[in-house]
Amino acid sequence: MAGKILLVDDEEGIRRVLGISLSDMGYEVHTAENGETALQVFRDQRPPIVLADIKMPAMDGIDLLRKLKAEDPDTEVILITGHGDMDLAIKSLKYEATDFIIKPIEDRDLESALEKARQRIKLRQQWRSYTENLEDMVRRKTDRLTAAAEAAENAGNGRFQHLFEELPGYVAVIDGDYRITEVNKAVKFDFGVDDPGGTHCYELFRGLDEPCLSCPVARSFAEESPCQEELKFTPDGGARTCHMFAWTTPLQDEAGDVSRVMIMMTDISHLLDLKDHLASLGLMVGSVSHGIKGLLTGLDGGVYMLNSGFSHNDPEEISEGLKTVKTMSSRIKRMVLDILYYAREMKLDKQPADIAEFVRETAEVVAARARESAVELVRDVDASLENSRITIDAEQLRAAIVNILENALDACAEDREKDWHRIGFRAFAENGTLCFDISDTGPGMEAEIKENIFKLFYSSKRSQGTGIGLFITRKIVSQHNGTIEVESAPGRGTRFRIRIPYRQ
Amino acid sequence: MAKKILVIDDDPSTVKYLVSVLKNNGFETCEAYDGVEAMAVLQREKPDLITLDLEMPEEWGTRFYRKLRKQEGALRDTPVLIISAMPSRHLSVRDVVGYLSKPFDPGEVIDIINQNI
Repeated sequence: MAGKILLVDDEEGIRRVLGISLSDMGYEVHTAENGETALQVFRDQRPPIVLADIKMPAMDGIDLLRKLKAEDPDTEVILITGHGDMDLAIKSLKYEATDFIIKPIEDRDLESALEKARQRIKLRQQWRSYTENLEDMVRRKTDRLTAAAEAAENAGNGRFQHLFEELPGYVAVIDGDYRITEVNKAVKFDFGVDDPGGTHCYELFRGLDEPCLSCPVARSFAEESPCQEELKFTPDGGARTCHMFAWTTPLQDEAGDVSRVMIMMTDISHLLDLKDHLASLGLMVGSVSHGIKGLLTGLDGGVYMLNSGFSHNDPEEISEGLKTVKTMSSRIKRMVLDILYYAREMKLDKQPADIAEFVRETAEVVAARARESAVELVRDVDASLENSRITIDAEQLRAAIVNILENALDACAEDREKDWHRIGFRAFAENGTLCFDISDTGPGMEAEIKENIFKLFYSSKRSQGTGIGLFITRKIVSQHNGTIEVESAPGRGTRFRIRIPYRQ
Repeated sequence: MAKKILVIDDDPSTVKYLVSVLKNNGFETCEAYDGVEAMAVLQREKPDLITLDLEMPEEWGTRFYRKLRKQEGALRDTPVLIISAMPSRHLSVRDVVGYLSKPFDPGEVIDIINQNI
């Protein structure tokens, strides 16, 4: 059972057909024919996912979305929009809809939107339970362990020794010289040692030659009290890195002196991954909504000037307004496409492709814009590559290169120092790789910009860029096991080079 | 005599939009696209009110605002209306006649200006 879902649409036919699809997918379907009823059903049933039509009489999908989010911000709301309702769709993202699907509804789109909603619900639950439980868990275990270890030492009781061995998480007892005197099974297993007795803790856990700079064990010795710390570890002989949450507690000997410290650790890498994921989602929503606000202002401006131009019968103002509207709508389109592209799962579909044809078709995508901006676009495929093929996902790799070509066009358009500009797009084979070389005669980049261009949400184009394009480009290139480099300096243009493994 | 408004924003389309709105409502306008230019225009044109976007590169907006409040004489007290895409709770300037967030309503811009000059 996939759980409850609430389906809101004013058309009975759609409710019936979609209802059947959703039941088939295993959902317990509740329906409502308008926003008011939807809210009542929502309060009764508390479905985690709501699927609603964006255009309904009285309360529309956006109003419903806002009310649902106000009642329970964790509700995943998917909106159904008509073809061409892009403005409403953007608005729905602003009010934190999970996704939108476009009519006519394809089963695949519906499934992927629902999958996204379920993922978000799962992620949120995991995150919540981790943060709530982690500290509590470590504290409880440490308390129990301290008692167990002390009792075992005093009474020599094998039962407690057994408990110590079986405890989940890594447990070690360390003396004043940072030498390990005892470890539990988990340490032996994961750090690959049978008897670590006498080994330095920093050596075993982190492969270091001297004590760590910030060491909770040392602090516990000095302060005679429990300490905690997040540490980076390399178990499995350095094959992987994991982040540990470490908790130390001083152990007193018979004279009441602290002669040893027990350290207990738990792997929190997974938790940190979740944190990164959430942070990137948050950043995404923030940066996107900010960008959209700027674009909407520009669009408002264009429409205002158009209106004003018509009422004053001023052709110059009309054409100014029209130009603004055109620019803004193309930027919005680009932004929405970027976002949709980023949001999509990227799985490569690799097929053999003719190299010369790939280059020609890729250049074709930006040829019209180059002509309009009076930029010469020169493409060149090395003669040795004639009739050669390479196995790539042509659609994805083309998108990656088009991002670079479009940036090159933007750069040339921005540079008014020269009255001519050229973009070179070359392909040639070199050292077992196929190189794509994209160079422009634009203004070039400062070192600081150059270092950041591949970062997600970094844009040097301010309100005109989403900071997603080159991030995607690099992702696609690395999915092809390739590399991407950039050379650039102010006044000297920019050159990107993509290398994809290739055997002639 | 028509009142004069200085429009400061690094986004040319926003400047054009505001200038068009203001002219249609009988104001005179002057414009600036960065903090340095804004300071020069301020001293030359002595506007009756300033609309300012705080979100310009290198904190031009905020720096311009601070410099404005340190000017000699009457210029220092020029009313400022903030028009920005940032939510007002994130803004670091306090002594202003209003905050409007982008996208803004042209009617509101005119109302706030009329109430303050």
